Amino acid sequence: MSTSANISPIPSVGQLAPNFLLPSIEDQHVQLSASAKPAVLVFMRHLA
Amino acid sequence: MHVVQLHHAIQTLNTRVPVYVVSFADLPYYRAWLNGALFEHAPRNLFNNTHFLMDPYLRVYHAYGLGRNSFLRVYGPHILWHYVKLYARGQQLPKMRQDTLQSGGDFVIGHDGRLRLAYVGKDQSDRPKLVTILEALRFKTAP
Repeated sequence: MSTSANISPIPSVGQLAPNFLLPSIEDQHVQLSASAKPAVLVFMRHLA
Repeated sequence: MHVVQLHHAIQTLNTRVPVYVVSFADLPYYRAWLNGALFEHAPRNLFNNTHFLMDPYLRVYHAYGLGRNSFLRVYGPHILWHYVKLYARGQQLPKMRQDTLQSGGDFVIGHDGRLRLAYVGKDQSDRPKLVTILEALRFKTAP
């Protein structure tokens, strides 16, 4: 369960995007800010 | 469904745009959702440039400022009306097996690693307009 204490402010436009290495469902690892092209990042809510 | 509409909109740009879809669902549930919900709404090749990523401990959600919405905000009039419409159409109401209060959001990251769009919905049905995302993708930084 998340608490507000460990949640960063929403990053602003122009700011460096928080960069993470995340596992994919295909068991690969993908770095969010490593694309040579602009990329879209969609955070899902609960999946229904 | 927002993810499907987004991918159709991106196709109109006639260029490959990487898309990262992040969920906090566990792997079996995530896979089941992809096969049972997402790929029923759209052909799989629509997602050729898409990575489906996992963040079960919400580390990345929290780094992007995505916390939990309040119960009243999540189940406010918009959502209740959405469920009424689903019910009226004879559609099954979604079963809630995950944290329904966790918020989502849409971001566009430029090739320079800087954010071009940061959008966190006011409630669980709020997503940015597709044209807003496309504009952020088209935006070029000064040389």
